[in-house]
Amino acid sequence: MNRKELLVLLQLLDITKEQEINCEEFLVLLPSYMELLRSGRPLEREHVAIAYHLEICPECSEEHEGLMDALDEGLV
Amino acid sequence: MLVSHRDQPGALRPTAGGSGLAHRGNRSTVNARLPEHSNADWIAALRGESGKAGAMVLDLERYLFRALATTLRRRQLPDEELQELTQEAFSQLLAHLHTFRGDSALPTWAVAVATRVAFTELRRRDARAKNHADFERSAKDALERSSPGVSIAEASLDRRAVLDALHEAIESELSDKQKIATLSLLRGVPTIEIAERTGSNQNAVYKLVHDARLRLREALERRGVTADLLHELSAEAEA
Repeated sequence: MNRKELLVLLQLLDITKEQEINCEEFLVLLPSYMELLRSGRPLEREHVAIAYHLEICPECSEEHEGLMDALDEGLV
Repeated sequence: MLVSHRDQPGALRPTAGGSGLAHRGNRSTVNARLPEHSNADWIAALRGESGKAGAMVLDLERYLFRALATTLRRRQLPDEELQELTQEAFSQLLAHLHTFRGDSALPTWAVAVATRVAFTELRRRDARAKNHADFERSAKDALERSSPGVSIAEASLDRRAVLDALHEAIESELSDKQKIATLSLLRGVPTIEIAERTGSNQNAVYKLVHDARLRLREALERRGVTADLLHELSAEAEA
């Protein structure tokens, strides 16, 4: 691992938690999360894990970004 | 776990009037407005149990096409590829309909699932187009023992010591599989690629790397790297 990769890993270790949701669990929570965002209602406790997972996972983050575009355009 | 229908011989294919987008317009002409139905009506339609199934399924397919055109916008895909991905996603929706929890409108769930299916397929294609070179290189590099001379240029003594400790911990604490998966992910190799190249699945890859991160944190703590110091150095690295 080169220096840059070690630094990124260091950042990931800083935010690592004992209990994390994986990408499949993220997807399960995502639809209700999007609807709460759209309605402006407060997020529920289980949705906190979504924000955290987005920091850890660039793939879910990429999908989330696309879904936010769809939300902005009123598609969801 | 959502996988390609090619991996699931028994998976359902689009039914009840679906599969016709190619002849019904492109992203600028397909109307994204979706008539409102209850989740129960959607489920009945997708199971082919409703008299209105054909029209509702077609509406949903068109809606997904338009939604994917937006969620995949940054990929700048041609309509033909988008149509193909919509069909793949629709097929997966049908195969996984039993996993719908009902805590959102079904179309919202459908867009989230379709987006996951489409991105996963695109990542798989990207890896194939590169002849899996990124994974192969990461796997090779991960198993090569290297000296910890990475930190020579560090201005901070703390950071130099922590990077050295991290390097040592990787070498001594992680299994070969953990080293390969961790380095591959750091280099942007898709999870689906790692899973397929290691005969695993995406959930297992996530767990493997999560366990690796926990193990490295514990190893750093044993070497005197407190959570506060880790946070401080992480913030420095971010800056």
